[in-house]
Amino acid sequence: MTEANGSWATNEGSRYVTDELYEQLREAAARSNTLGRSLDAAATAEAASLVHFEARLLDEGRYGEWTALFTEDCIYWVPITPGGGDPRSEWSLVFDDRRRLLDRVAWLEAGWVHPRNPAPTTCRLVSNVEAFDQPDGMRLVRSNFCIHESRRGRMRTWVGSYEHVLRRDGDAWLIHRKRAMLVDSAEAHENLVIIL
Amino acid sequence: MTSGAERAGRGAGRDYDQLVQRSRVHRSVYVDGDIFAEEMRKIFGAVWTYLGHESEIPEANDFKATRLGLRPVLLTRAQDGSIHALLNRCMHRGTVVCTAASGNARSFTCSYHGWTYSNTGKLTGVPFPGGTGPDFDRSELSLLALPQVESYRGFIFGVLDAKAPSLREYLGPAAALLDEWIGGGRSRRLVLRHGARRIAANANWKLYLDGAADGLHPLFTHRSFIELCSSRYRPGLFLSEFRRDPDDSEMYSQIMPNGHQYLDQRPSMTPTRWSAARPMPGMEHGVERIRATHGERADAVLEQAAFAGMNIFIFPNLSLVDNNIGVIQPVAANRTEIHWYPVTLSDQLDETLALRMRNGEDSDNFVNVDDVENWERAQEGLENVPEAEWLHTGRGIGTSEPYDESQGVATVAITNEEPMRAYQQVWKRLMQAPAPSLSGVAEGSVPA
Repeated sequence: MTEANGSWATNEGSRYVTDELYEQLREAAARSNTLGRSLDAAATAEAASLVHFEARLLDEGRYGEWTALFTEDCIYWVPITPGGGDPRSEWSLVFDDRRRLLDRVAWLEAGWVHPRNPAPTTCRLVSNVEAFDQPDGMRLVRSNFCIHESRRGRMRTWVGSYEHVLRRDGDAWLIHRKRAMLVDSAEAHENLVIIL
Repeated sequence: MTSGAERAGRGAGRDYDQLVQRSRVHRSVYVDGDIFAEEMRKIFGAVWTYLGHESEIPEANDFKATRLGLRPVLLTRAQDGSIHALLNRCMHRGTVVCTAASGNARSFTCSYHGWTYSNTGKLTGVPFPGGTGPDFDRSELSLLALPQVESYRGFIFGVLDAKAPSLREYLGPAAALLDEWIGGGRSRRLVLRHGARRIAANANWKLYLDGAADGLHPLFTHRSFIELCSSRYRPGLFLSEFRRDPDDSEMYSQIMPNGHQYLDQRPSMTPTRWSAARPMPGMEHGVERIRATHGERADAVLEQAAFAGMNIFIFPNLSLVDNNIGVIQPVAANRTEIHWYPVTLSDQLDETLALRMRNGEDSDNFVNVDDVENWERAQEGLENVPEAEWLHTGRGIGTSEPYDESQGVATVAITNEEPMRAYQQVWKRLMQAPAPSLSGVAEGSVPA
């Protein structure tokens, strides 16, 4: 079975999603309501520039450029349990490592997804951006989002807050972890076929 | 011009023999709000209906809010361990008594005027009782309760009819399928403590039932998933077997009495069910760790993270698919929620837990959304073209005998629509019968 399931056309496999990583995600989510005041205006502006750029790439369907914003060992996580919970023992709306994130992009770009025929258009408002330094040298960015999604004459709204964890990459920051917390994460949702 | 069937679909006293025929069903069955209202009384609760799982209320005084059709229900475990299904509606002015989704409580106090009920439904207190008057009898004002609540392997069902045959009898041969789905012998239990994924579709609830044993739709409906697997990975992954004529595969459907259905997908998941699993986050890390720890037993251990490959549907609202329990929750004629509960096994090995979670999310993310879209497209067509009155349900007629409940279990090819025709006969029988009533049967209840 290792032979059958061991070689992937696209990558070397998923090895960084470990119990340790799950524990880090759980702890970070549990801590997220304890943040104080944000960094200064310059740091906040730098963070806002990145999350606004990311939102624009998603609205414009520029998924190749979007995935390039993420680290090789990234996590894109949309919990069901309000705030986060424990992703190791609970389902999430989305829990992507880099491989599944690339799967998701390939899946929605291939054109076979019925709820994306025709594709929805989106407009994202990202605001209340605040930036914080982390002890490990990462930068944590909190923001709120409101995504309007239009398709076939119907409008849907996805509302919540983001927590981005950025890692320094030379002169720039890359997205190491992104958590999107919907205000109604545990309620029923119509089809989620956009990236939040 | 109004056809006979169109007339038959209107008003009280519909002719359900006219609306549900052997090879076609009238559109009103999916779009008519009055039929929907009748279904909520005549289907949900007229037969054993799934309410929740014992592992959701494991401790004394635990409770969970659920529904029986549209009726709000509190599923409670009393101090003595007994399980009760109480209609969550104050006997004073009709207020929903408890709005929490779950919790632990010995009693429930109505927020409107403070009437208090025990978790077995008894009215234990009204405020300022001196003013209630001589005719006020608390014993007559218990919360309405389902007269029969039973569980099978942890699945709790309830029925409004005090004289309904036992749950075990209702499940019939489906009980053995539940045993097989759980696996591991009688001591193994399912555990539903891993959250719930609730999806909403702008479509009639029976569109879910129509797909419960439908082996024709995957190649078309789930093309996005099948293409994803083959373009980025390899042949042989989950659902890839549906690329060729599925009736040539070893997969099969089964029809059982009372509307239950089954599709066995395991023959397409070889050599092990796990070998058909699509890559998921943490897969290689998890597999390597399990191989290092368990050696020759590793393949068997990994089956704990794999899909069951058994799609079991218990009429009217319980569906077991992949590793999940799906509860079909009608909201309106054109609105349905499906509540998916990931489950684990009481002897689940810790190292398989995260793989099982990630595996299950894959179907939710990349498979179920295409089902929802097609149900919604069906609803749109059914609602808006009154001139086209019928859904065609005749595929497979002449290739198998018409199902008769006296047969017990019948096995058919997976693209045969006989399972759909069979549950529709059960639906019709219930819709032609009077609605069940609680009056005079529940202890302490009052006339309706």
